[in-house]
Order: sequence, then structure tokens, then C-alpha cells
Amino acid sequence: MDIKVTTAGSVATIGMKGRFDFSAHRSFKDAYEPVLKEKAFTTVEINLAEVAYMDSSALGMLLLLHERAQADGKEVILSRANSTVLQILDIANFKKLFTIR
Amino acid sequence: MPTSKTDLTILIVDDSRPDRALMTAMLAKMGHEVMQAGTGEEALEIFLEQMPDMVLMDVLMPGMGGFDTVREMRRIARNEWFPIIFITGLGHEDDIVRGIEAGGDDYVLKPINYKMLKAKVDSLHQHLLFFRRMEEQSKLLLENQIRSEEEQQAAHEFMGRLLALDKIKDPLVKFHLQAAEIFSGDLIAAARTPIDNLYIMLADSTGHGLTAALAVMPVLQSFHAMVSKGFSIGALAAEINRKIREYLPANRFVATILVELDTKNGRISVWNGGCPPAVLLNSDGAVVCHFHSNHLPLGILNPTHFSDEVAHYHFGNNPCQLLLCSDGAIDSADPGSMELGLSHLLQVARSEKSGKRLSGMVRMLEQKLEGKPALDDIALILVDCPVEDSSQLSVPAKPETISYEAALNPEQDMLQVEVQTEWEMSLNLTAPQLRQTDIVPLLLHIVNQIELEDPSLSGKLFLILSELFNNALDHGLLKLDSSLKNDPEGMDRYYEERSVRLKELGQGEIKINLQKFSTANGPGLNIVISDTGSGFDYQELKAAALEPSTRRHGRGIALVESLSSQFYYADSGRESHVSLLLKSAN
Repeated sequence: MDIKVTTAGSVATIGMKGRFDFSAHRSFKDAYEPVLKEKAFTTVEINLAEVAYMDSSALGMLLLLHERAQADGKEVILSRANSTVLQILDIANFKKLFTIR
Repeated sequence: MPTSKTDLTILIVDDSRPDRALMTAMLAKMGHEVMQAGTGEEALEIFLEQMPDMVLMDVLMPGMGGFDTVREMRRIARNEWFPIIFITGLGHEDDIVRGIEAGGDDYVLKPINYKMLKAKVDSLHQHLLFFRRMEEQSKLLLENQIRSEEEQQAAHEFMGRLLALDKIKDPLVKFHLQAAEIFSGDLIAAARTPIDNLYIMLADSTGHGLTAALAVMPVLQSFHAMVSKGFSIGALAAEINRKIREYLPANRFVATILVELDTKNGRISVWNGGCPPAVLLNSDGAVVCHFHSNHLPLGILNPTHFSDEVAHYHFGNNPCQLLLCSDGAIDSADPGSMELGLSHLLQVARSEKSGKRLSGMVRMLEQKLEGKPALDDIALILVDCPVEDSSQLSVPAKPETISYEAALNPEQDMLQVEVQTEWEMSLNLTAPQLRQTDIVPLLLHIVNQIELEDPSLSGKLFLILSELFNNALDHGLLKLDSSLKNDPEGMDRYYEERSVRLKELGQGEIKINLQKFSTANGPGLNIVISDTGSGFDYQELKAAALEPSTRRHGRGIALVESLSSQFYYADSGRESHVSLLLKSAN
């Protein structure tokens, strides 16, 4: 899984590429931790455009991020998911926790 | 076993005695033990008796040459590698290739240079130590693996007994559970409430394998405990959510479906958080409706944000079948698309009779997997939703002396005997409590407090209490129109409306009053349930109950009447009074 972090003002975007599963665990955490620490960012956007596959451990990782972000007073947005990934987010009803664009 | 640099046992094979003596001296100087052989045959004899750590082999020998001897030694030793150094003469370098091909590892040229020999012996000694270390580790790994498998088998058996899957013997439930590894992270449970409603739970823990299975097991305990007390599936979901959230780490959750089947009223209720849709099929196997996941899986939301909203469907007089599956089942049917996967399963349902659908689906999945193991746990459940034969709903025959006329004369006391009160209790439920309280467990609890000589009376008592309570709430406080309950669609609207009005109930109280008394005829119970509403037309209700139709809502009052010694309304319908003798009539 390739992860790239870009920023624009108060929004930090974490771009994910590849399979979002347990193997991405370490790199995902390494990507969002510094973003959460930085006070200037109020919004964390997870760009899922290039994520072909997501499983339940990925949902778990997003939940951890959500918990941490809430504690730091930041919003988390999930964006540009393809139809397969959207279906997974839909069944899990993640729209009740995250803004999904 | 060589443990240090100077501890090898080396076999020298050379037909020249002086050469053997020279090499022996050199090796002894290095600190090694030496064995000698003058021919290939002799070397093999020694080799078989005591395998050396290393062999120095002369190429040119009469009889069995060096190459053949080495080949034979390798064959004897099989997977046990040991270093072999060939001894060749100058000008015989092509022997070196043949030697290595025969199984040798290195060579020295005659006349032998001590430093060269020592360097090569030491180097190959290192290789030997390395090889033996690897072997030892392999052996340990294998032993560990065997032990681990044995442990897993034992744990699997134990877990199987805890899960008591073989105890799910309800005739309406058929299921298929297939673990991706030894342990399944999918869990199935089924049980009946005290009023005989069937509850089913499908729980899919994140991931699969032992961790997933362990994560989901405590849920089973809560399920059975609460079902036995008659809690609603919404309450079960809330409690299980709270429990899971407490002990599971934040990144783990349990996708769950909870189903309640009430065959008496032809109703299915579903709470689905994170699972694929539960699909209701009619007797032809066509889809009637879907129960989509409209909640987050259990273990994520904190109790204040948790939603226990349940979806209902009234199937009335149309028997049907409910299909529940975990996403592992759908993935196996089609790994790319959930819609396709589900449609494959539904296709099987359409082409098979209800009794054969499960085996048909299992066969289809086997075909799709093509003998390869599934990537995720598979769970399939089919629940039969039959229509209860209303003639079986026995309304016990009533003696002619007690008739509806009694209700018109509330002052007339039918119990023409002396009454002595033993105890009295009152329970007052205000609007906030009415909005939240799960009434079934509460009433069951009350019933269980009363000592009954005849335990079969507890069911009857519960029926009376719940019927009168629901009337007080639905008609007295919520002012619902019970004529809506005449058809299945109306039922849905009725319950939707009920849910809305209950949420908005600002004021109103229901009082439950019980009085235990004793008479010469035996013990009895007076029940009064009253509400602060504006009353209702109980005449209309009774008129409906009089009709010999299959109207289920009217049946409730008829039942109450048949079970009591005396039953009447007072205060414009705000009060219902029941007297009940606690000894079964003969």
C-alpha cells in the first residue's frame, strides 16, 4: 500500500493506493499520526480513489483514526471511493461516523 | 557432535599409507580426531559403523574409486549433509569437476599444503555447524507445530461444546457454518422467549480465525440470558453493543443480525448492523423484501448514540422463509460483487423447494470455490416463517354463566364468596418509563414473583397482563386505531404509527395493581390496569372479538375473557379489571 500525504490549508489529505487491508496497518498509522499532532489541520481527508480493495481490518483502522481524530477535535472525511469500497462503507453504515464524499 | 573448532571426527580414505600418516598428523595438529581407511570398501564399513563429521577422499584408488565411494556415502547419509574434500593430484583438475558432481564439496592438491588443508577444513567445519543448527531448529519447529495443532484441536472441541451448535434444534431453523480456518469468527444462536417467540442471531466478528472466534463468544451468553427473560431484540442489540464495546479494542467490531419471529402474530422483526441484507422469500422462493443493514456493527457506538430501531414485516397468511448470510458466504458466491453473490444464492432459492434450499446453496458455494478453501468464514441460515393455524389458537370453552353481560354490570360481583386479601402491589409507569421500558421482561418478572401452585398459570397470567397493558398503552394513551390491524400492510402502518406516537408521548401514566386474595375456593388474583388517557370504546373492541373470524387483535380480549373468572372495563375504558382463580378449574 502506497500512502502519500498532501496538505492544503487546514486540510491534510492522505492518499491511499492499493489494497487497504491488514498489511497497511503500520504505514496508515505512520501517515495519520503526524497529521493529528499538527494543530493547523482541522480536517483529515482519506482519498480512496486508488483503493481497489478494502476489508474489515481496514474498517477497524478507520475506526481507530476516527477515535483519535475526535479526541483531537478534527473531522475525518472519506472521499472518492469506488463502487465496491462504497458498498462496504454502506453496509457498515460508516456514513453515521464519517462524511463520505 | 562438534561443539568447537577443534572437535571434528574426520575419516581419511587413501590407499597410500604414508599419505594417510601425513594427513593424520596434520589433522591431529589441528586438533581433530582421525579415522583411516585404505580402500573405498573399508571406508564404507567404517562410515556405516560411525558416521564421521568430515571425509577426506583420495580420487585414485584401486577397487571402488573415490567418486563411487562418495556417491555411496551420500546415498547412505540421505538428507544428513556432511563435508567431503577430494584429494587429487596436479594435472588431474578435470577430476575436480567429476568430484563435485559425485558429491564432493571441495578439493586439495597433492602434495598437501598444511595451511591450505587447514583453511578448507575450517571453512567446511563452519558450514557443518550451520547445517546442524538449521536441522535442530527445523526439528523444534516441527515439534512445535505438532503440539500447536493438538492444542488447536482440543480448543476447537472445547469451543464447540461452549457454542453448543448442536443444541440449535429448533425445527424452524436450518443453518450451515463453515470456518475458513479451524475456528469460525461467525457465530449463530437461536432460542425461544418465554412467550415462544423465536430469536435468531448471526454475528460476524472482524477477521476470522481464533481471535475472531474468541472476540465474539461472550455475546452468546448475553443472547441466551436476555432471550430467556423476554427482552426485545432492540434491547438485546443495545446490551450486546455495550458489552462488546467494553472488552474489545477500538478497531474490532461485530457485524450482527438479530431476528424475532412471532408466528402467533405473523410478524418478523430485524435489527441489522453491518451484515448483508436478510432476505425474505415467499413459498416460491421469490424475494418479498430485504432487511438492509441500517446500523453500525456492534461494538462501535457508545450507548448514548446507539440506535435500537427495528424493522418489522407482517407476513400474515403468507408463509415465507428468511435467509441470513455472512459476507463470507456472499464473497464465496462471487468475490467481486456483493449483488452478484447474493443473486447467486437467491437463484438457488428460486429453483429449489424450501426444504432443499440450504443444501442447494451449500452445493453452489462448493462449486464456486472449486475445491479451494474459502477466504472467510461462511454462515448461512434459513428460518421458516409458517402461518399458525388459527384454529390451533385455542380459546378455552367458557361456561355459559359468565358472559359479556357481566361487563355491563361492573358492580355485580361474580365471586359470591368471602374474600381475604393476602397482599397488594402497585406499579406506576410514567411517560418517560413507558417510552423506554421493555415491558415484556417487566411483566414476566412480576409474574415470576407470584407463587403459583400451578406453574402453567404463569403463561396465562402473562398473557392477561400484557394484553391489558398493551390495550391501555395503545388505545388509552396512544389512541391508536386497532382496525388498522386487519391486514398485513395495515399492521406495518399500525406499528410504525405506534413507534412514532410512543416516542412523542409526553404525558400519561399506566398503573398496574395486583391483589392476591384467598377464598374458600382457593387463592386468586385481582388485576386492575388503568391509564390516564381519555378512555376508549371497549364495546367496539368486544364486538370485534365476538366475530368468529381470524382477526388476531380481537382474539386477545377474547383470550383474557376466557382465562379470567371475571373481566370488565370501568371508567369509560380507562380501567380494566380481571379476577382470576389461581387453582386450575376442573
